[in-house]
Amino acid sequence: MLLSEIADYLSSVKELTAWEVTQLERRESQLYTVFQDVENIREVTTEEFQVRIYLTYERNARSFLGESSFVLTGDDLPRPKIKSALEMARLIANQPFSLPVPVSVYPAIQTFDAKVALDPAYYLEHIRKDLITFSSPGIRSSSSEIFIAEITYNLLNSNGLCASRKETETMVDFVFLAGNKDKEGEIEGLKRCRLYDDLNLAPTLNQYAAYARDMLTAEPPPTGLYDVIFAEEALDTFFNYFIAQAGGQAAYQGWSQFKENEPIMTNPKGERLTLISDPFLPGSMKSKSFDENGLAPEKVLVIENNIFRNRTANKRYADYLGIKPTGNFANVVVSPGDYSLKELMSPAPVLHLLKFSTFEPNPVTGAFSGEIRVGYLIDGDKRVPIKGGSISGTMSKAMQEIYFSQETTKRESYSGPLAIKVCNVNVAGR
Amino acid sequence: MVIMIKTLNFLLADLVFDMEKKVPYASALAMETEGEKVTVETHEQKAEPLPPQRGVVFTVFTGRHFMEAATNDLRPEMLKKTAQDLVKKAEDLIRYDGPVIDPGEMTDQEFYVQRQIKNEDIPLARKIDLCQSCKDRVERADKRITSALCQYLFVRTRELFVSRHKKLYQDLKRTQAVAFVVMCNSERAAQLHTGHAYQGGYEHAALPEEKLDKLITDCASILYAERLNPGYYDCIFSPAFAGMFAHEAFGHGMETDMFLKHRAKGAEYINKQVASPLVNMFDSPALPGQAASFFFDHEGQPASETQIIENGILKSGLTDLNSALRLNLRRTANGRRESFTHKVYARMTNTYFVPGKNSLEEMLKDISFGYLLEHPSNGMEDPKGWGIQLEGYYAEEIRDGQLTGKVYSPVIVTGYVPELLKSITMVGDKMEIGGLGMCGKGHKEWVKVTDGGPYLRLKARLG
Repeated sequence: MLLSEIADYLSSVKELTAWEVTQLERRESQLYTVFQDVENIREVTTEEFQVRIYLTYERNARSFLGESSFVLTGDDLPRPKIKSALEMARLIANQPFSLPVPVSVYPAIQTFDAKVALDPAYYLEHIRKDLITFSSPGIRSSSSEIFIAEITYNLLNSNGLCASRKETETMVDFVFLAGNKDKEGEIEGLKRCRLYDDLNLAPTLNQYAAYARDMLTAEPPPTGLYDVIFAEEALDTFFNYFIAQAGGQAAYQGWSQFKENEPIMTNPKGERLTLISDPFLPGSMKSKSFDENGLAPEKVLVIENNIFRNRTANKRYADYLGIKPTGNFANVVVSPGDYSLKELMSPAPVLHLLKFSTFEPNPVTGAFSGEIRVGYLIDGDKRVPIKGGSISGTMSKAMQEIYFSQETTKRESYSGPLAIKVCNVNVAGR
Repeated sequence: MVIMIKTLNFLLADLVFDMEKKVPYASALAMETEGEKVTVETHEQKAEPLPPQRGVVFTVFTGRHFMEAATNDLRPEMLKKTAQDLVKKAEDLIRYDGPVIDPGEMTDQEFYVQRQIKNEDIPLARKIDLCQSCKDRVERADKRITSALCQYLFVRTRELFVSRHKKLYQDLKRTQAVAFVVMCNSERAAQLHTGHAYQGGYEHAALPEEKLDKLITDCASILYAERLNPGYYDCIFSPAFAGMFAHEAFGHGMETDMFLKHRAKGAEYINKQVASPLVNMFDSPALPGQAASFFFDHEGQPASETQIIENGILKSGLTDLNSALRLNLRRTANGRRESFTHKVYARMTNTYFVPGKNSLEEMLKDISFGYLLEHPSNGMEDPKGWGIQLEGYYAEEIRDGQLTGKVYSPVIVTGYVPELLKSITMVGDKMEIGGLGMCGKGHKEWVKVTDGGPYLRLKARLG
């Protein structure tokens, strides 16, 4: 079935107020290794059409939106599925919103790497060779998973909107072992990128090899209150609470604590946070030319020097709240601070934490905790590896005294300070 | 016309037969997942079919490694092409001096999960009403609730496995009910959820009143809860917390694909003491009625239980075909994949501690100061280093053998797995299994699991 045929059919269904259909094609090549050997080679090809339907109706002099969705694959026809979807939609009573209208030109964002899409097998093998030939004292490569995917989106809606984009994604998950039979440790690394040239695997492998060696002698830190410097993997999810709280959904559902043009933290002692949602960073994992409804996303200044300025919202929540639609929060961009990383390392002692087993601040409460997987206790010139034990706190308390490094870094969907220092964090350790 | 995967039986058998003319081993797995989800929130509603996942994955073994091709185009000519293309790629790599896969006993069977009430027989309006009234009831109970959600979920998975000796078909159905609340005061917000999931039908769609009452009471306690002082304490884990402990402690660490990669310390501790002699732990996809149960795994292995720990001694790992083949281990029914688009790994199913002899009152009795941990949220284990992290929303203070009602939140348990397991001094006399869990491997590969156990008394480092 063709996308246009599905669109023609949906246009002919009188009861529908609006509809959207997305054709999603995914072609993925996967390679799995265990030590030097190949474990599995996989090819996955899928195509589906995701259909969403809307109908408005009146009840007790109020307008409601009924909505539902279905997916078509293979030889599926829309006619049999629309009946139950309509039945479902008629029973739903949501606040109405309108779908995006056509855009003359979507922003051009670099998310597709033609050379990788053309010959994924070559690049899989290339990465595999990089991994198996990697050499570092005392390090063995345990296993790896290498994925290369080409994804195509074609979206049409009842307003005549027509949007297409292609993405590539390369993912390398690797595990290193360090030490010997008496004392052996492991470390897992993950790197994802849209553009192959951004993969730049060698420095990452060297860095993780060093961590694997260091962690052999690591112990949990002593229990107490510490100034903690978050860096590397710890940065990837550090701002999740702010992202959720700044979103239209949180405001509409009544659990956002942020109010426009008010400080996110009263009288903070340290530096002020400036946070931007940027959907245009070349090659970043959350860069896209249009969102799930076909809306062209915008760059948004969300928090400026500790003041909450603007919400991010997709078309639904923007309409509900009467604000400008921007798309959901995209890549995290944070302004750097006034201090160098070296300056942040004092006064001693400081914990420099790079990797947790998980670090996911609660989007509603801001509570966070995380078991330390890679870290260092910095005490003057001493740098002692630490592993185990945990940090815990709440984001509101953490923001009371926070500092951002001058040096910056770019990760898969983060661009900002290389390190973030949070003062007086509870650490449960030895 | 929609192709039902059961009807692919003969076609897949023919394709496997043809593939095995050129490769030492071949199999095919067809999977189809469908269902519906109704969600009623304070400000929004949704009633939608689950995105159907329907496809076939062909597997061949070259004598050295596995190769797979997966597609969701089920037209016979496309399936034939996918199988032929896969064999073509494998042909040049065939070696007959490697390990040999035992195709198992000749089996041709169909399995069905029974339901008291067919979900399809209940009108959608009634399902929405059920969620609406549950949401309204929760919302009305406390003025501090700013958002409430009730959800009904029905998942039906049909799977067909075909190899040289096996034609297996299973039709699995599970029903899940969840309630979620957010409470706010002028300074803070708190959230909590409750629910259940069981194999079966609409008979499981409603949540018991006592679960909803507890949800509201406990969420209100959390709203005002302080953080506890980090340290080592006498603890009691609730059955749900014990379940997460089982899952993280020697669930992941006993998945034998991790043995193969030298990523699990457990491999060196088989038949050694790793826990208190009071501890017995199982993984079983054959547990009747539980949400992660099935009749055969995704590599055609019939479901049966595996005792992981027996009286504190580590006994057996959980295997998939590849790791069992390479390590010469007994196959257990733990070869699972997220969907036909994903690879098989050794995965848990229903993982649980077995009940002991103690009542909760006996456990509380001589604790002078400690905590009862409830409402787990998530956990992580480090199978190589045996570090563990368990997070939860709720720790209630125990003083002089009594629960004081003073609640701390959130709570995090960290420690060394054997140390925690060896510190268990009492095991409760009733087991509960929580059905809401999903489990990832690393950062992906999500499969349905459950876990559970009785109350456990132990010493733990809390943060």
